[in-house]
Amino acid sequence: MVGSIVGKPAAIRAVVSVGIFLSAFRLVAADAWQVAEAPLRYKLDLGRKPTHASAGYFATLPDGGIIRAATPATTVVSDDGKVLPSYLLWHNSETGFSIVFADPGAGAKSVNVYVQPGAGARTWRPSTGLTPSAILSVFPGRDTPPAAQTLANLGRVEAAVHYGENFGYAKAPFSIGGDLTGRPKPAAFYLLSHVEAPVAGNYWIAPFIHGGQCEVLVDGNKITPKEKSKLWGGTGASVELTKGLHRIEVLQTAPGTGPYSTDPKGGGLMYLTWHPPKEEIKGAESRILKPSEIARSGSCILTGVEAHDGSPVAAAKVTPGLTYWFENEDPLLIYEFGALTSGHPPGTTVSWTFSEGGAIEGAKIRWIVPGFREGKARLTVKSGQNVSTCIVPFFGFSTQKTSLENSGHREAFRDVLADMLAAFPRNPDPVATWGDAWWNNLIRTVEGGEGEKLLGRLFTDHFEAARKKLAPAQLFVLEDVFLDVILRDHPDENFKWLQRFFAGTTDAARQNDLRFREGELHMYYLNDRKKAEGIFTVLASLRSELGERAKIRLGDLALLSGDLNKATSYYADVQNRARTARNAAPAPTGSLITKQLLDGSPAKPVPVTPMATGQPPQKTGAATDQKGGALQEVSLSENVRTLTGNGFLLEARQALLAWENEFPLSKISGDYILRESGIYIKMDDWKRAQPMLEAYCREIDASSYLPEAISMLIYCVQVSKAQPASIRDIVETVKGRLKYHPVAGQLDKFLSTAGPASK
Amino acid sequence: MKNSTAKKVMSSALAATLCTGTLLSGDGTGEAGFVPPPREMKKPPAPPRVASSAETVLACCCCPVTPMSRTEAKKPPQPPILITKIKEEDPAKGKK
Repeated sequence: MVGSIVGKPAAIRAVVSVGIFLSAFRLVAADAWQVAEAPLRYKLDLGRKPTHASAGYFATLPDGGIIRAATPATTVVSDDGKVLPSYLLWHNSETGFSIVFADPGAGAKSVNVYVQPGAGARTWRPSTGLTPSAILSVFPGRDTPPAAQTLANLGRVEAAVHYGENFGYAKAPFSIGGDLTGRPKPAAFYLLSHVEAPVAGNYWIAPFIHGGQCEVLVDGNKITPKEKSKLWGGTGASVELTKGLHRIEVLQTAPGTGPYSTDPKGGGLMYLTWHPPKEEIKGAESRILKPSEIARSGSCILTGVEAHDGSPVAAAKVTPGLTYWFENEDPLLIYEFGALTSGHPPGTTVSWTFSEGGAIEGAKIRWIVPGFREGKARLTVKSGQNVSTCIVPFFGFSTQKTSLENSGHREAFRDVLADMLAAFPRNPDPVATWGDAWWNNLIRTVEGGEGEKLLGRLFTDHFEAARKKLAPAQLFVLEDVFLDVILRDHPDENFKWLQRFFAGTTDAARQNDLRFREGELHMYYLNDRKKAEGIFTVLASLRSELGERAKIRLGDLALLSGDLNKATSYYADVQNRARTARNAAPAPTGSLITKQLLDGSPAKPVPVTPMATGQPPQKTGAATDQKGGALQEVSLSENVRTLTGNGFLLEARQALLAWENEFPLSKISGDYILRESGIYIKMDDWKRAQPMLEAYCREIDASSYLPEAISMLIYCVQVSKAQPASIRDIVETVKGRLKYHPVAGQLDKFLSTAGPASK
Repeated sequence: MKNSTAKKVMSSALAATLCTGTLLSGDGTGEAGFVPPPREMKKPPAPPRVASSAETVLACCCCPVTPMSRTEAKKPPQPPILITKIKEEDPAKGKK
């Protein structure tokens, strides 16, 4: 640039140099503090442009205590250093303050709003030349015309009042539908808007009022609607308007209680219609206003709040998110709280405290809040000795669609709740005050293989509260889900939890269940099969379902150790006893485990067969019984497969258990091994899936399930990154048996890369 | 006029014959011990829990105010439907 002006006349050089200097100054100016007297500035990015230049930009900026209860005087400076006229609309410390400022022009992208608390704010008036539109101010809890008038007076308003843009809705662009924040009736409203009269002349203005009291002012003059005809829009008033923008204000009340009507026909509080001069309207006296006839102020995005002295300023944005609302329960919502950290010195810490107790750190955090209730959080930012705090108010309401079919939505609830549990104080424990909605949603969002963080936190820090609030069956299943989850990756920790849960109950059946779990822990995860055998031998003496299952596990241990005869003997013994009542009850399908939990009923599978009572096996063997048994076995297998495929892992395991109790011989002669491994593979539980697959492939000489079993075994080894050589012998043996089967190609490929077998 | 009436009658008769043939043949109705499949393949009604908890009111721009919608519940698992035919042999006849 400098090179390009060399050789030019001195006067031109001087002008260009000044230009360069000014441009550089403006760039610096955008970041420099442009209003020395202002201790605070809000940084705004300009969003949607105004429909009319005079409509300017509208912004609501947070206060929460940082303005120290003073009415803020604002100076808005564009990014090129231009000071823009700005005016206050409303202010209270809860909602913050809303302003309208002049359009800086097409090229502008951002502005700084400098604030001088108590310096004499300029409140907007029609004479300012700006035409803010369409802005709705709402006073919840009041339904009188004077309350609406206080809003029309602008300036400082009560803490409950809030304000924002009002877009109407498709069928009535100029309307007041209700409180858009979700707060219920009663309320008083004030709508400040400007509409564009396309031509000069006499306009018929006809408001439709669906509820409450309504007053419409055109350019500050109240209209008195009178009936002109019985046609639609026949009640209104004639007003002489010039071409261009005109101010229309609506003061409206909404008496009663509860939510606003969502009915597109009869809902809403009021809407406005008009009849411009010379326009032909058939069968009616007026028509609704077109969206293009209503002026709209531009919008802004708040990006930061900074202090002149460089200290951090506490300011936040609150964003409602997913909704967890079922039947007659209280709704729970995930809210995102984000601190505006722009301009914070390095090392600034951000923390949040909530009314129920609990403090959490982080510039952006999520918290679950009850729906349809006012709430407050306190934000604190610290940098060295400088501390700034503000109150962040919110009302629990969200329109985000949520589905528990979506795993991300289930995970979001679990993750946020786990973070809350970590932040909760121990005494008094807020968990002790949780209502049904909290517990039910916790149960709904915990699935097989999910929820380790949440349940770990619950049982670590809030076990006593959980034990007091939950029914035993609910607590036991949550314990079981947790034990299943940590079994995979933390078997040692699992053992400690087993001991803790064992000590926490006096229910003998529950204690035996936990002993059984301990046996499986030693058997599959701690590789101590001797200890497992000892536990199962003791449990096998029980005359109950658990005793039968313990015998099946002893059979499993025999299969794992290579004794197929012994395994078959155990399985056949159990199966014979189960045979007598094989078709006594339907398979346990059709209802969610969570449903059982929510009902507080025991989360046990529907028994397919009464378990052993020590009776000798009954003689059956009729062809019908055998066929019925085969049919039921197929049904159980299909049931497990479908449940696993659809991701109902808890239910699939319950169905697998029912199958195992009924037909343990299927482990050898049927496709049980495939269905069982399928569940554990889906749960990423390789330690559980692999040993039984190895035993099956090693011990079963030939079966139609062998090819799939060996494929699953190879998959397990590959995904779990286990040593391929560890199963080389088994794969070689199976390959010998399935020389001409299509799976042989896969086995060859595996063997070529598996390396030599370990000795 | 006569021709078109005759055509209509013939078409209806032909359709009725074809439908009857389809309904009566090949479903095993004539075989002893076989329970024919249900004629109307109507889906069973949804369990009440889903009906009450999955009533989602979508946020829309055609309502005066946007309501908060309820959460869609996880649907219960549907058991697989297995249809089979068991043939009972008469042991007295000694057939295999």
